[in-house]
Amino acid sequence: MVSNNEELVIENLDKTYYLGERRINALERINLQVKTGEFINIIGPSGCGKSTLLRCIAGFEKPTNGRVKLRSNEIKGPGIDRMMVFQDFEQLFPWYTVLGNIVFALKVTKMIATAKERKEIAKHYLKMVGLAGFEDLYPHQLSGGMKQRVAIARALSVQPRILLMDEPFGSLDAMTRSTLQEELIRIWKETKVTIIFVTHNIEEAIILGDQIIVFEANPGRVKEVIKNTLSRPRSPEANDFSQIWERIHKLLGFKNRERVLEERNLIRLFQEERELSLLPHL
Amino acid sequence: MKVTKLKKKSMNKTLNQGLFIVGVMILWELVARAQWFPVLLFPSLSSVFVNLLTELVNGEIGGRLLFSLYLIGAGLGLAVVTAAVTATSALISPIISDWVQALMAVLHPLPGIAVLPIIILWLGTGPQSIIAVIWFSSIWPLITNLHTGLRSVPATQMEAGRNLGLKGIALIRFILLPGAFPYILTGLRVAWARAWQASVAAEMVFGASGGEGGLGWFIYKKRFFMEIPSVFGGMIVIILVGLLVERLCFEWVEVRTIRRWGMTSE
Amino acid sequence: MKKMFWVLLCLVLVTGWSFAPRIHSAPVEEIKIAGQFGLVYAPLMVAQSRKIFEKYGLKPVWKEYGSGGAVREALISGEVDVGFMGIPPFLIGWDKGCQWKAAMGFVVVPVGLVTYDPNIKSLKDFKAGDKIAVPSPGSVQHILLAMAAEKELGSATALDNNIVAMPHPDAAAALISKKGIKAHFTTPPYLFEELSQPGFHLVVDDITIFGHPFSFNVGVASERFHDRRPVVYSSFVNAISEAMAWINANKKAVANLLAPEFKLTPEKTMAYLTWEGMNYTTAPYGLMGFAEFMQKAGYIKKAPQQMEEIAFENVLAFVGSRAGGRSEIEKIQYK
Ligand SMILES: Nc1ncnc2c1ncn2[C@@H]1O[C@H](COP(=O)(O)OP(=O)(O)OP(=O)(O)O)[C@@H](O)[C@H]1O
Ligand SMILES: [Mg+2]
Repeated sequence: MVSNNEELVIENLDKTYYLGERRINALERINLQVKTGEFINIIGPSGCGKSTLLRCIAGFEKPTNGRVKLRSNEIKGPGIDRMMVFQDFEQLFPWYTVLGNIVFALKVTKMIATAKERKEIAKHYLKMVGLAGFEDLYPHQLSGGMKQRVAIARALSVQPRILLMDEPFGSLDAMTRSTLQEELIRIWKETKVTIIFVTHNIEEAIILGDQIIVFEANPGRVKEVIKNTLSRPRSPEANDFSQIWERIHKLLGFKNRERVLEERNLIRLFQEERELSLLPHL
Repeated sequence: MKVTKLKKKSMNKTLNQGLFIVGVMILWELVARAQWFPVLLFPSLSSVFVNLLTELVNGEIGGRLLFSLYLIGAGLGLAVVTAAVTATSALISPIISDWVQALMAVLHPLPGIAVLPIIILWLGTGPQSIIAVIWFSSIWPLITNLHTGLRSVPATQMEAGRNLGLKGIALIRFILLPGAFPYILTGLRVAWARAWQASVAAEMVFGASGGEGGLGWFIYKKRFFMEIPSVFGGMIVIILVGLLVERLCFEWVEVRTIRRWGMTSE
Repeated sequence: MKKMFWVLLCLVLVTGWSFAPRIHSAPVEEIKIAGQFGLVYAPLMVAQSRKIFEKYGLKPVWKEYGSGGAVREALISGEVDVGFMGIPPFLIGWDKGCQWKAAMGFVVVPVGLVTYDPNIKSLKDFKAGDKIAVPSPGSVQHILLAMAAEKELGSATALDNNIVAMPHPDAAAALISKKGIKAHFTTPPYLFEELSQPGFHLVVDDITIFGHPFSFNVGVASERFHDRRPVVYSSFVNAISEAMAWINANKKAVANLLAPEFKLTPEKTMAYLTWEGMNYTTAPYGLMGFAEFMQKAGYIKKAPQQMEEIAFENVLAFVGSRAGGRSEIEKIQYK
C-alpha cells in the first residue's frame, strides 16, 4: 500500500563491504519510510553506516540486498532528484565562480535553456542562502560556512525532491553552525524539500528533525526511530528538549551525567573513533 | 598596503635579474674583446647581434624557426593526443593503468635523443624521425602529469559531478580535466621544454635535410661553415622563443586559470 | 706490502719520466696530432706502428675526434698541432681567419655518388624528396655535389635541399638497407662496399666533376706551430713522407698490418689499397680549384690569389713556379 505522501521507502537494505578477508556489515536490514517534505535526522556512532545509507539513497553505492525506492521507483544510480551536500569543503568546483558553480549545475542538467535565465535562477538561490553579492568570488576565496551555503544553493537549484546532507555543518564552528541550522529550517519551509540529514550532534538532530533515527554500529542497524514533535523554533533550554536529548544520549550508550560536559566528551570520543575508523583505509 | 609591497618585491626581483643578465652580457663582450680565446671560437656579443640581425633580415633564421616550431607542434600535438588517450584508458581500466605505470617507470628516464638511432633505422632520416623523437621526449612528462592529475581530483567533486548526472566522457570533460588542470599545465610546460631540446639535439645529431631543417640544423650547418656568431645567434633565438612562450603562453594561461582558481600551491 | 710496491713503482715512474729528457741522447719533441682511423689514414697508422715518428725524434700524442668539424676546432684552439681534413673545410677555416696553412697533400682517393635506384642515372633524376647523404655541410662531398649540380643543373645549390648530414658508417648502412636515403656521396672503403652490392651504381664521380684527381685530405698545421717549432714541423712532414713511401713500396705488408685493425681479411684490404685511383702522396692536388669554385658559389668570401697564402714553404717548393706558364704540377692545383 503505497500512500501518496510516501517519498522514499527503504526495504530490507543490506550493505556489505569486503576488505580482503574481512567482512564489514556496514548496513543490515534497514527499513525506513520517509514522507514527502519531512526532515529526517540520522544520528549514530562513527562507522555505523550513516554515510553508506546516504550514498545508497544518492545512488553512488548499490545495496548488497534490498532496495531503495523513490516514489515507488527503484533507484538505479545518481540523479538530480536526490542532491547530496557533503561535509568536506572541496565539493565546489574551484574553476567556477560561486555563480558559475550553480549556472554549471543548471546547464549540464539541461534544466534551464537560456544563459540569462540560468543566471537569474542561480542568483535567486544564492540570495536564499544569504550570499547575494558574492557571485563573482571563487571558492578558494570563501570561508568554510560560505562554501557550505553555496553547496546547498547548488543542490537546491536543480530542484531535487530530496536533499541528502552528510554532516554538512560538521566542520564549522558552533556559531556558524547554529546560524546555518536556522537558515536551513527557513529554506526547508520555503522550498518544501524533503531532507535527510546526518549528524553527530544530538542537539543538532533535535533542533532540525521531525524524526530522529538512531543507529547502532557493527552491524549498522536502526536502533530506534524517535518522533520529534517539539514545536519550532526549538530551544535547547526547553524541558521536553532535554528529555529527548537524554533519551538519545542513553541510546547512544552513555550513562546519565552532566549534559554539557557530556556533549563535549561525546564529540571528543567521536573524533577519536573517527580517526580509528579511518585507520583500516590508510 | 600588502599588495603594493608584494608588487615592489617582484619588481625588485625582475630588476635584479635584468641587471644580472646585462652584467653577464657586458662581461661576455669584454672577455671577447680581450681576445683571451680565439675570436673564431668566442665572438663578441655585438658581432653575434649584428649577425643575428642580418639573418633576421634575410629571412633565413625566421624560416628555420618556423620549421622548428612546425616540428615541435607536430611532435607535441601527437604526444598530447597519445597521452590523453593513454591516461584516459588507464583511468578506465586498472590493468592498463598498471601497464602505463610500468612503461612510465622504464621509459621516462630515457632521454628522447637516445632512441634516435633506432628511430632512424625504422623511419629513416628526415622530419618524420625528428617528430618521432620529439614525440617520445615529450610524451612521458605529459602522461605522468595527466595520470597523477586525474587521480588528484577530490572524490567529492567527482561525486558532485555524478550527482548532476555526468558520466563517461562528460565527467572527464567537465570535472576531471579542469580538476587536473594544474598538473596538465605543468606537464605541458615540461613537455614543451623537452620537445625543444629534442628537436635541436636530433637535428644536430643527424642534421635534417637542408631545406627542411629547423634551428638545430641551422646551428649545425653554421658550425661546419665556421660561422660561429650565427651559432650563438641560433642559440639566442632558442632562448628568446623559450622565454616568450613561457611568459606569453604558459604564464598567461596560468594567471587566468589555476592562479585565479586558487589551484596553485603558491 | 702490496701497497708499498705500488707506491714505489709510482715513484720510480715519476722520477724516471721527469729525468727522461736528460737521460736520452737525442731530444724528444712532443707533437699533438688529431689522429683518425681508416683506409684514408693508413699513413698515420703505419707511421705509428713502425715507430717512424720516434725515428725523427718525435713523440706523437694522439687525440681523437668524432668529426671533421671537431678536428678543425681543436686546431683553432691549439689543442692539436696538426690535423687532416678535406680541402673545402680547410678553406672555410682559412676564409674565416684561421691562422693555418696546408703542410702536405695526404691522399688521393676515388670519391663518388652511389645510388641503388636504377632510375637515377644523373643528377637530373633526383626528385625533391630523394635524400643524398654527405658527411657534413661544407665537406668535400658536399662541395663536389655543388660543383656537379652547377655543371649539370645550372645552380650550385640545386641539390642543397636534398642533402642529409650523416657519418659514413650510418649512411652506408642506410643506403645498403635502402632506408631513408637515395644516394651517398662517399669514399673508400664505403665506396667499394656499396658498389659491390647488386644494382648499386655510380651517378657521378670525382674525376668527371673536378676534371682530374684532387687531394681528398690535406695535412694542416697552425702557423703558430710552424713558426715556433720549425724543426718539429719538418720532422713531422718527413715522417709522414717516409710512411707513405713505405706504403707505396710494400702494399702487401701494409695489407697484413692493417687488416686486423680494419677487421677485414688481408686480401680485401689489399684489394682496397690497390683500387684504381688510390694514391698516397704528399703532393697537393686541386688546392686552388676548390678555392675558386667555393668563392664563386659563395661558400667562402675570398679566394687565395697565390698559393703561398694557403700553403707552407715545403708545399710551395714542391709545386714550384714555372717561368713562362704553369707546369704540370702547378696546373693540377687548378680545376
Ligand atoms: N568503500 C568502502 N570500502 C570498505 N568499507 C567501507 C567503505 N565505505 C565504508 N566502509 C565501512 O563501512 C562502515 C560504515 O561506514 P560509514 O562511512 O557509512 O560510517 P558513518 O556512520 O558515516 O561514520 P562517520 O560518522 O565516521 O562518518 C565502516 O566500518 C567503514 O569502514
Ligand atoms: Mg560518515
